[in-house]
Amino acid sequence: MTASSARIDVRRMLGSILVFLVIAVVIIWTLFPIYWAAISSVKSSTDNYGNLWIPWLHFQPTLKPWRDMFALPEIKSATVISTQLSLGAATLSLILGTLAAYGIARFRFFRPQNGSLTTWFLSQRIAPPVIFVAPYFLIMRQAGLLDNVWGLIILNATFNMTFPIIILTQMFREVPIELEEAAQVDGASRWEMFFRISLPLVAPGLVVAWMLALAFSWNEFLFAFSTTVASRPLSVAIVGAEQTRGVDYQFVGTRTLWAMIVPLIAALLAQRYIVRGLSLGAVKG
Amino acid sequence: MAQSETVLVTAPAGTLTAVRPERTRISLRTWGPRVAMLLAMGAGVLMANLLPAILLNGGGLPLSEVAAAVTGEGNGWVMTLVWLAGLIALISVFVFPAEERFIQTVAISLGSLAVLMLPLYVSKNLTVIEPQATGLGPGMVGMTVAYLTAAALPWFNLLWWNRAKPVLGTGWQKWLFIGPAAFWILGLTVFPLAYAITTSRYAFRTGKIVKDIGWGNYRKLFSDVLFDPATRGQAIVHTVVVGLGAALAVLAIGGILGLLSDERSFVQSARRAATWIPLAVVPAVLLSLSGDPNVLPTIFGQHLPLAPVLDKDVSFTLSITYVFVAGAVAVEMILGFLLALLFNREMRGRSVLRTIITLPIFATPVAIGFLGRTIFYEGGGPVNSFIEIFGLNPPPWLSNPTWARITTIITDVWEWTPLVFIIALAGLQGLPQDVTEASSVDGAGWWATLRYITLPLMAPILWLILLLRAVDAFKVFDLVVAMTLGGPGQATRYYSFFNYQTARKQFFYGEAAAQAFLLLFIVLVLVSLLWGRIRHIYEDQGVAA
Repeated sequence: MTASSARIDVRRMLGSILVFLVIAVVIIWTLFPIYWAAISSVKSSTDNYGNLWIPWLHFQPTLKPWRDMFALPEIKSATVISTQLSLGAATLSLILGTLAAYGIARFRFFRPQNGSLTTWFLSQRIAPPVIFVAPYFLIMRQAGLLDNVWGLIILNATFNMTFPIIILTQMFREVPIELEEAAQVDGASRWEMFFRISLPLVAPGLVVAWMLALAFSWNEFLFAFSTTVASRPLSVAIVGAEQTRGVDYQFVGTRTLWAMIVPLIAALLAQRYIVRGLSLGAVKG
Repeated sequence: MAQSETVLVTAPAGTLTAVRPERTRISLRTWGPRVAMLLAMGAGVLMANLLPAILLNGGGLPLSEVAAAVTGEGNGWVMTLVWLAGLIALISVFVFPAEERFIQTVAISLGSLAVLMLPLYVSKNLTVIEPQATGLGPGMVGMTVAYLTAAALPWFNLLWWNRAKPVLGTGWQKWLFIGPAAFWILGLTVFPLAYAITTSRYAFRTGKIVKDIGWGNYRKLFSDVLFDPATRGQAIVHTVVVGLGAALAVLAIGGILGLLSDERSFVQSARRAATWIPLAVVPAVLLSLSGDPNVLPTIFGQHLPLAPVLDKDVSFTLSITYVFVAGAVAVEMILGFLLALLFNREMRGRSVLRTIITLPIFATPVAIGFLGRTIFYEGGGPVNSFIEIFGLNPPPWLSNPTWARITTIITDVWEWTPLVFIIALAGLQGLPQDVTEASSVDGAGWWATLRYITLPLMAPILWLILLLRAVDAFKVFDLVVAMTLGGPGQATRYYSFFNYQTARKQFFYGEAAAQAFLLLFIVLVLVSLLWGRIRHIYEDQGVAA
């Protein structure tokens, strides 16, 4: 009796040690590139090579790379443009997507039916964006939107509209219809029902959808790369610099970290409906 | 009363029941207006195509020449808008049932008015298109009259001929909610695709349209194998043999596995395996038609028996893309699912760990590629320094073609395994707890529970993750631009990057559009295959339950 329970204890302990080890490996694997960028960004240029892993122990950290980077006008303007484009695109896609989500959730469409409408809206997630590069370039050249932050806002709003549509369609459906019916009895119009009753109840979803759209617009590279020269956002600015400088660790560390910081913060904040948003609404989590 | 017109969906949340539109009786009353609209549109198209569009001193210019001139001005959007709007108006005549008469009216009249962009544009740029023009031809005038009629007819129908209560149909306000987004998507994804179809028929030089070359840009995607009758016959035979071979292989493997594991007969098991046939045959045929045997992995030192009909460059690029997609997605699916299984238990700090593991999804891909370049740097980068501690020889991460592909796959695995992980974890947590608990109470081991309980229940979600990841992996672009720039040589110039270079480096926009449609076709085939599998599982489970 005691022998067998001791054996079970040993097995359980070995099991939890194994689990702990796996988790440790996964965490190190996940965080290593970010850690590497962080330590590279505070190394002086003499500390480039060899096994220098821990600041203060292996090398003396310095803020000079950061000061050098922020002194550059190209980084300042790229940061401003990235901020403008991601705020604009996220807000625009949220407005359009929320209206569409409410329409799909609350009304019956006869033909095309609600399901087909949703599929049509989500189909943009399926199409490889590179197929739009040539037509977008030609269209934007004719519309005078090349190399312009508005062009990028429009494109990113289009491709990130799926997030509010996915997340909010489900959330609007979860709002009890009786609430709206009660308001309707009291003489509320359709718009009042939408604005006063349903919209406040899905506020968490609005925030998460907005943040997802913000993060992915910030990270967007293909369209920014193919349509901008002077008004480059951060994602393009960091690549353009690389080709002239070769591999220079401080240089790469500061720029990649600076480019990633906003979406990473968004990821930390927007955990709640993330699975819904990323699985096209098929899995709730 | 505006609000009394709206129809609320009163079904419980999430279960919108499909309702058939009310049957329209075929009568002059219901079909008369539609036939009249069709006649007006048909007359417009015929007049535009048969009568001269521009009058000259001695005769006239037909529409085809005017259209080529209009597009050649660098204004491809006019012709694209015209044919797309005409198509939308035409489809709207048929698609919408009587309940949607509001949106039908709006769509037909807006579509017909947009078609009038052509006569408007031609009359404004008459002398630019043809310096010797004397006036607008009867074709354009007739087209204007016909399409103005087509734009007016639905309003006539709505307000007078089929006037009903409520006039605008039930719940027309719903279109005010859907409308902005739908219009946006129409303008920014459907229109650009139509634009790409238009431009794919032209040759470009330095970004400007040079001439109409019909199917020439599509012809460039294929090799001469397809156009020589002798080799074409061989290729067809070869493809059929590959497809049949794949089908037979599925049946044989299914049958043998069934014999080994169950008490079922070979025939029964083979019949069960038959549902897998499309999933094996379609990729095999696609691979046989498009794969480059010199790039794809060999089996026992033998090249795969492929008969590619695509151009050498296209075939090479597709093959390295297949290798990337298959490698990255396979590793991500296995690692992500195993990790989700590990986390699907009570543990302290799970939500914090989950958040940390989620971070890579949001890390700017181009920054990760850029960072990957320094991490895998061969002249003393961190990974090499670390490996050299153990006295080992680090591989040529980015300077050897095969290793460069592996390195891009490793980086993609870092970035996207978390996606598989969080969706699979959410799926596992959504499984009915009592089923898994009951099986472990019954004394089923970990493996048996996984094999007979968890995996079948998780199958639809796993197939869905596979679909999402496979589709996304075909989009790989940022990573290679930042990390390898397609190199060494062209070893990691995956399809999106290749396509991008055709458009933005060589400025062959027409050819780039044709290449893009090939990629779209392959992705759509993949999506419909996997989607078919998901639906099959749902139907199967529906029957079982």
